[in-house]
Amino acid sequence: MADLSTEVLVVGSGAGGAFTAAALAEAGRTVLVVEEGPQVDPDAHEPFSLAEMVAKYRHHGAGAAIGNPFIAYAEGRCVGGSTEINSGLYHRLPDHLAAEWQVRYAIDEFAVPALAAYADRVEAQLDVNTVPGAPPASSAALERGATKLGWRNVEFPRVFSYDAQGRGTKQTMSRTMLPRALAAGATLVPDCRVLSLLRRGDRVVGARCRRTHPGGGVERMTVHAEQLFVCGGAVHSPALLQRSGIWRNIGNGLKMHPTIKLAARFPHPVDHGDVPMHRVTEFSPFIAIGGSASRKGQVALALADTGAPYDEAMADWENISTYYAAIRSEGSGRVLAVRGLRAPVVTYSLTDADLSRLARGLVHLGELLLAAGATELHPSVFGGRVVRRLDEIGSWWDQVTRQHSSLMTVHLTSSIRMGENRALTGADSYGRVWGYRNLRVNDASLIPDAPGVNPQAAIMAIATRNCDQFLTEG
Amino acid sequence: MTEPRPADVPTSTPAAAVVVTGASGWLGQNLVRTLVGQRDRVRCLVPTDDAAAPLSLLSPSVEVVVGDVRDPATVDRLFDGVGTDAAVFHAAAVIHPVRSTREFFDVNVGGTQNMVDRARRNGASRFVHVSSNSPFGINPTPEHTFTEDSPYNPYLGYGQSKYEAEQIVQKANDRGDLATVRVRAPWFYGPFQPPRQSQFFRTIRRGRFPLVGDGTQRRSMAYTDNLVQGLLRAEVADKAPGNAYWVADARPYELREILATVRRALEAEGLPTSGPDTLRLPRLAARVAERIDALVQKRGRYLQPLHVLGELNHTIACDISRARDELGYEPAVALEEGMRNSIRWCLEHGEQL
Amino acid sequence: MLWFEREVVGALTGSTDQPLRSSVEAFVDGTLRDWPEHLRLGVAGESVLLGAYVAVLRRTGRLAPGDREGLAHLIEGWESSPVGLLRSYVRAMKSLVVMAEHELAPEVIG
Repeated sequence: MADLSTEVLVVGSGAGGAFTAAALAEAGRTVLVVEEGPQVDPDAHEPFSLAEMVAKYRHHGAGAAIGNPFIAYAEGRCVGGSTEINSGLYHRLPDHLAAEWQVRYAIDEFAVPALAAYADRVEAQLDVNTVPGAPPASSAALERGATKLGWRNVEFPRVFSYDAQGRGTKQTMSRTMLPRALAAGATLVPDCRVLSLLRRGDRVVGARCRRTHPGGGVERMTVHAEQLFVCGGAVHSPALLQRSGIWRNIGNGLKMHPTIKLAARFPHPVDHGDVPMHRVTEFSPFIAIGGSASRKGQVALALADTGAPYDEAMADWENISTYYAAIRSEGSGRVLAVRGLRAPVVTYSLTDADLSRLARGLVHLGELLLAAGATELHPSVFGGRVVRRLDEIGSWWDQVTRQHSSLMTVHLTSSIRMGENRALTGADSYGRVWGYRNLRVNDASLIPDAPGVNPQAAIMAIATRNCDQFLTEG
Repeated sequence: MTEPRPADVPTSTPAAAVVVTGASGWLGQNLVRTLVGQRDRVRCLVPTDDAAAPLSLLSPSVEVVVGDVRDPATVDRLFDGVGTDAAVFHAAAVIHPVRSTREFFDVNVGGTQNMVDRARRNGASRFVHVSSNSPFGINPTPEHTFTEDSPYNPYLGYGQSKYEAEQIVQKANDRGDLATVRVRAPWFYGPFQPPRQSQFFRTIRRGRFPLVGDGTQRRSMAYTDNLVQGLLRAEVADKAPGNAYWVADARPYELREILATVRRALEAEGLPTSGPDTLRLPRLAARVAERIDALVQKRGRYLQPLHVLGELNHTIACDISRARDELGYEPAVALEEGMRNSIRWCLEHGEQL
Repeated sequence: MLWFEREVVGALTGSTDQPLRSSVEAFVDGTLRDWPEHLRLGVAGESVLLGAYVAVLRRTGRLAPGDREGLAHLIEGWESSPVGLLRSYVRAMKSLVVMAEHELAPEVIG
């Protein structure tokens, strides 16, 4: 059993972990990053393809929060984490939420100007751009429909950089912050799962790991560290802490952006490569409308959701794109590490108000796409009506029920909230886990509530801020 | 009854065409009947064909659309051809859901969103939204009175849904999409009450209505016609857009006063009362009902008697000064007269009290 | 992968192209292995129960052995069952098959 020693151990190499590793390595600290997943060539698989799911996603993409109904979710499990599999959409944490959370969770120095400065720094390190030239057809449909109805909509920028020919490359962690960390002297060990953290009183002294070698051999090892940053995401950070005997306000209050989808058929071909970058913000803060990945497989899945035959529509799949309505929910969930189980049990419960918002979101989404020229709408509701005219949409209200809706989320946050209000939080204003002097969390778990927008920007800005604080502490 | 002189506040001309949702409801019927005498066109939304009949018969100026306020196509039909300067009175809401608490959100929020959206797209001179005391919970102390500056404190599903509806209505005004006014109406009473309300009179007549505690808790109430006048003022007062106003009778009434007044009104309308003047119920019982109500609602169900009993323990009182000052609102009818009108209306409509 | 799960996948896969059918089965097999254990156990438990039920149907002649269409029809019926867990079972298996069948088809890989 080989042992490793380092000054700073970072668990997880996603948005939080990569920014942490780069910031600390560039400040001269000795950093070791362990990543449960493999190193995968970012160009090896088409985005959102089955092959990508097998290579880069946890559980091949099949996570589910248990509840009424179950909510499907996906997480990245590879070097670079979920940034390797996401749409790349980038949106700063909305100011009003930062202000609300500063008060409710008593977060020090969480004022809007301070966070904006951190967001500036993040954006200086990553290339954040809107699409040069015309947006793809599936995204343009959102803009067209919204404009026709007079609904506010905006094109979100993405962490994509464009070459002279206008070809875009997503600025994932494995392309950006991880190489920077490595260039500054950090070490990265992929295929290495942290089993538990070793505690001694109010300090964590290391981590017990299980490393899988390329040949297939498995090795147990211990990493000794003076400082630890756990960045495994809103499900696996609390799971690891719980496995290590740390439980207070760890894993409860999990938040998602529960989402309901539909497949929209147009009288013209649409693109299937990019996730639409337009979002309709008319119904914020509770409802956001946008587009989803629409490869052939995703189109088929969306069409299959009504339970009705869909061969005819499927033959026309190149004219079909999938869209979603996402909500900020009142409900919340839990992550529970169970002894003997490798994966934690995740639960989530939705309130009636949440269900109503999902139904309302679907109805608005339908109106929007009909206005954009869609000829047929297949809702992700079992038994849901395939709508071709506006006067058919009203039926969806009563069809969207717990029993019949197919819900998912791609965003998970808030399971180890940050702030000085100890009744509500699991870590302090800078992510240090209560009760421990050298254990920090620095990922989506810290974000106190669902942000209503893609969380990666908030994760990166907060991670940068927390690293600054750590470095000043010496 | 003398007509009060409205205060001298700057106003504009009432719209020739109006759109009314919840037209067949308790408040709606009173509102439509007043509007019919004044406007060229009263376009009403009702949920069923049965509800349409009594309204259509009122006047040729009444046009009825049957449908669901949640349904975008229905609301399109509702606005079809009314012109771009109609005034909208949005009273459609669920107060006592039949199947589940989800109805609060579907109708009170979803329906309001639809209406605001269509009114903006179609054009409207003003959007008057009927809101409630429920986004404000109960008064923090027995002597307190809600004003327009009181903070939101929504209680349970209904309160939360009416709160969200207010947010949608206010946002539309703040964004410059639509001139909106929110009128907050507390517990109302008056003609056209639904059959379930007859139980209210029956129970008091037999002395079985519970007086919770000592009965000094204050409740603001709004006689339907007072409320209608308030809504009409909100339509035309220049200062109104973007604001909310409490509209109610001139002052809150103590619960024991309400019960005593109703008994007097029943007697005055020829209905002898029986039983004890008051049936005292300890506050504890009402508190228990309130707790159970909260639990029941958390599970998505709703039991009206439980909810009503829970509320009887509390003070829910509001101050109408701003409505007086800025809308020129003046409540013409007070409790006894209003209750007598209600009772008489019930008797004329074959209700057994 | 349990025998009944193989049958379910077989019944849900529409294509008659044998290599594709094998790829779909292989994908589902690999994915089920990688699932969170508690979800995998739940599905396995249902597979055992439903498998036993279908075995009884076959033994009593109400379902012909090898009748893939008949099994598919049965599964479709379960999708509208009032029992939530049964609906989610079908939904889960169907999602795996639908995704795989369309993504692994030759013209997509090309």
